[in-house]
Amino acid sequence: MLSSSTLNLITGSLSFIFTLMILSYLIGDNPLFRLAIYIFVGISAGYAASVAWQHVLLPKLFEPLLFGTMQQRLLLLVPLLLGILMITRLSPNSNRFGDPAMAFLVGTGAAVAILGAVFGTIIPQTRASIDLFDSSASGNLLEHLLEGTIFLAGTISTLVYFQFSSRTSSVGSKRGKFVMGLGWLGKIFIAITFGVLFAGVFAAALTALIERVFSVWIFITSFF
Amino acid sequence: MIEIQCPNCGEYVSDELDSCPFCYASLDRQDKDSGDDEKLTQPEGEPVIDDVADGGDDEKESSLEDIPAAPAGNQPVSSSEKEVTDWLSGLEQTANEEDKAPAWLSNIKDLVKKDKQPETSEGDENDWLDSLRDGSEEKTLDLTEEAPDSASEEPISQEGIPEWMKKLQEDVDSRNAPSKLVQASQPAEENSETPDWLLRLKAETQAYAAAQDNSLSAREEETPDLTGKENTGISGSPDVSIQPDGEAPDWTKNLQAESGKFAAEDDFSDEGIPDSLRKIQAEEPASEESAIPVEDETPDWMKDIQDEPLLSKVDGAPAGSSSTGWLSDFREDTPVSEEGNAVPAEEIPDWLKDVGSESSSTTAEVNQSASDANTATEELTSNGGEPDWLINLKAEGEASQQEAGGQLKTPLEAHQDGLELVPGWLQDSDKSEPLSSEKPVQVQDQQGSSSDGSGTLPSGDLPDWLSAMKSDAEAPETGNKVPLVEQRSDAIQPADLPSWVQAMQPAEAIVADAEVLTNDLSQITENDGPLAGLSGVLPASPGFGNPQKPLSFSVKLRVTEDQQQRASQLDNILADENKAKPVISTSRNIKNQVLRWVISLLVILSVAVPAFSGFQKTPGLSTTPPEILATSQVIFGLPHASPVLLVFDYEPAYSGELEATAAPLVSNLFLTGARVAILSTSPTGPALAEYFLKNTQGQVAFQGNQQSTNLGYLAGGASGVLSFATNPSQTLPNALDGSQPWQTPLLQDVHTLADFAAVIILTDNSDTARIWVEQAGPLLGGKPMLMAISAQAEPMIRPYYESNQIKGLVTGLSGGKAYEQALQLPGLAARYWDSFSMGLFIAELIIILASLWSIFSLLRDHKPAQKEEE
Repeated sequence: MLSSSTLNLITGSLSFIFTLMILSYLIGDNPLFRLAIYIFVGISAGYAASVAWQHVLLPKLFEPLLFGTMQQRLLLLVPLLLGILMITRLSPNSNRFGDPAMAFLVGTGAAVAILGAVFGTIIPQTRASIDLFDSSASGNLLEHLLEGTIFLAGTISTLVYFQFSSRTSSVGSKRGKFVMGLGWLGKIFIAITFGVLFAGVFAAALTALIERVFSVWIFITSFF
Repeated sequence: MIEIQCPNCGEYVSDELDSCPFCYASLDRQDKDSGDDEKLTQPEGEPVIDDVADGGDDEKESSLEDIPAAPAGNQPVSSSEKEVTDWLSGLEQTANEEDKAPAWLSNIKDLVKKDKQPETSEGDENDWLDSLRDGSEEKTLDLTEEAPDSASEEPISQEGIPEWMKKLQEDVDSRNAPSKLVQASQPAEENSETPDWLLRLKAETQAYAAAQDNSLSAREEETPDLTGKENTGISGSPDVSIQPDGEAPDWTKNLQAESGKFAAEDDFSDEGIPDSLRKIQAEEPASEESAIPVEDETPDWMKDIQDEPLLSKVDGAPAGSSSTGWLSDFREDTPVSEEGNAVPAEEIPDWLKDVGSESSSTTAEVNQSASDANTATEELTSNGGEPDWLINLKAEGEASQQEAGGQLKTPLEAHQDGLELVPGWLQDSDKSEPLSSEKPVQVQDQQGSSSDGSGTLPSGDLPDWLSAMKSDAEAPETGNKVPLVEQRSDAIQPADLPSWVQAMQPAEAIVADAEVLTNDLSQITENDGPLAGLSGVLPASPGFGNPQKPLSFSVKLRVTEDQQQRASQLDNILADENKAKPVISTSRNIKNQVLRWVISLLVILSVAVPAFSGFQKTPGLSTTPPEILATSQVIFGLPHASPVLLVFDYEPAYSGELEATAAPLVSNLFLTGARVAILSTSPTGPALAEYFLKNTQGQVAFQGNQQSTNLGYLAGGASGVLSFATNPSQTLPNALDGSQPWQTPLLQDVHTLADFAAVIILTDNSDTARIWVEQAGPLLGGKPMLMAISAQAEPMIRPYYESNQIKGLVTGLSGGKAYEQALQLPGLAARYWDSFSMGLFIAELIIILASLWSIFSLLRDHKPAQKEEE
């Protein structure tokens, strides 16, 4: 059994090496970068498979089938059969046998997603947008109205921007000026949103870089 | 002749007439005067001389190769010159007609045209009437045009007019006077047979002829009107010109008289006559008897025969017609002079004399056959325009069917019946080789058998195949009944079949073959044509033994200038397709690469320098964000040792950020003594959770398994979340270490999701956060949901905080720094804060500088574009 200090040294060395391999992408696509990527992908997939077997299939399927009660065994035959049918999708010749399992997954997943979207996102978000104009709400009314107006304008203009249908005239198909104005406003909101997203991505990446720099620095200073 | 165009009907009429003979409209003198210019114009539709000169057709050129060029340009342009071009255009059209038909057949066509001309339909009335008005001149010219192959040249002058032409003039003159008398004395008869319009036309023509005499006498120095009216079909061939009076209609007689007058009165000067006309006229005496050019269609071996001074005793037989018997049709169609040109005896070859001496009746028979041919030619018009050979072909087919089993004559019998076209060498062979009537006669080559029809040839001059033909052809004239097949030394002998093969031969085939041989072929006698009298001749059929050379068509590609331009454009397009596209310069890529290195170096240095220095120069946040305050309030508001669900749903790549973000929150949670249940919807989540607790919670009073349990990986995505929210203990009954946490004091009081005092989500993905909000939020039962998220997910998750679905929100490193400040517990966020601040500053600086550079570049590129537009 390796000691913790040895493990720390090994893990620290590996992290240092892989960090440099990933940072080598600054000079372009190179074998070191590809090697690091392949290793990460392989390790992640293997770890995910082991976790799925260790934490899902074995304790929740095979152990009850082998050591569970008859009721548990009969109930678990259904997920076992669906799982086997899903395996048949690996081959193009037998993938049609996996359609029932895929249909079950897609059906249940769609039902769950739609139900959660309606009652977890659409209705609450709509209600929240309306509550911004609630005069009885606590706080500064003017600030609420301004915030609500910006919310409303941003929502409507963004939706109008994605409205591409138009009336056909002798000149041709062209959207009205009002619609085009709202669309232009929606485009501004979309641009601001993408800017914020980019700032968030950059902040996250910068934080990750800081963590890696500190890790390398700690690894280097650990030898002194 | 001067023509003017009728203003009413547009026809060209003589300027001497006061009214148009076609529409009877009066012709003003002014119109006539103005029509003097029009006389130089050419009737519409007639080809011009340029077409003749520039004709691309080889045959056309060959047919016109004897036609000289137009008079020199320095000579004054006269009406006669224009008229010369007219008749040349007519020649061209004639040449075109000859191109469409075999050369040997074209002469027959000409004869047919000449014969058919008087019977032209009413639709062609104007054409032939136009030509009739110029008939005198045209006939004179046609006489010359019919002799293109003549070799001698004689100038056409009053003194140099050939003797035959003088005789022709005298003959026409002699006929002219009585014809006029007859015409005047027989108006009643004509009125009864001729329509009125034709009578009027005749009267106009006569009046015109009378006026023409005066005009022609006044223009002695001008050449005759040689307009190409010969296209209408009236050509001055000897056949037409020597028609007996009793056969020719009166109007034709007038034309003959005009022709005679013209020939007698017009003086052909050398200046006014083109060379071609002179040449043609000079050739006329020699070609008088052989107007048919057979030179081109004659095989080489026949040309050799023609080179010999052969001359037939037959009246009117052409000098060159001694080549082949099948050409006798042409010879018969050849115009024959009235008195018949007797060939001197010294020009007759010996072999021909032998023929004449041996068979005195041969000449008569040939005359008879020639007259028959003429008669057949004359009858052609009554046969619907079909040529003689075609009619004979049909007749042969019918005769061969009728006479197959009937009474047919052998060649010997036909010979004895008087058809003595058989050559002498064939007659000699009759004596040596008896012919049997019981077996079929060997079929002879049509051409070879007839080529010696007028005499024998030395065997050394003949090709082998012709010698063989000769030996084969000698059999029929022997008069014996021995079949030729048996007499030939090189005949194929019947094979000696074995008896068993002979036994297998069907009896029907033997009988049928015998019948065919004995009845059909051997008893067919040729009735017409050069092989008349020969039996056993295969019936002619289309495509059988066509001796004519195939028509040659021009292969010259005629491309217009526009087509050439388009072709060149297409070539250019295809050439551009094959050209290699220019490679984009790599200098731009190097610039981008260098720029990327510079930016990366700046960012790394901005991050590393504060990290390596260890100095925290950047001040903290001046204010705490409301979501941080809300989060801390929720944490501090939790009951002591209450169960809390902590979800690690982020990827390892974002562990550095999420650790710094969520560390103060989790520390605050553990500080409250909460019982924490850890799970993850990501397979890597449980390991990250272990790493997180180990690295970030060391400084707090974290008690490990006594305060938290790792439930592990929650599979199923949204369905798994919903399942866990509905029944946590059944969805994840076991912990990561295999224990049953739901039975432990940590989670023994938790049966549903609402039993947790709070749910804290650590995620970098907005979709994961949304799933938890959507699936678990409604089942929390009013319990708070907190989130520690990555900075990149904030724009998508913040609305849930704004909508109060999430009670607290810690976002990114700044949120962690703010939470640490609120707790006054420095951690990773405080350590990273200087680097983070410096990195953001450098990034903002780069963005600003890059934006300014972009604006500068845009303005720099925009000015040259404006200058170019100006």
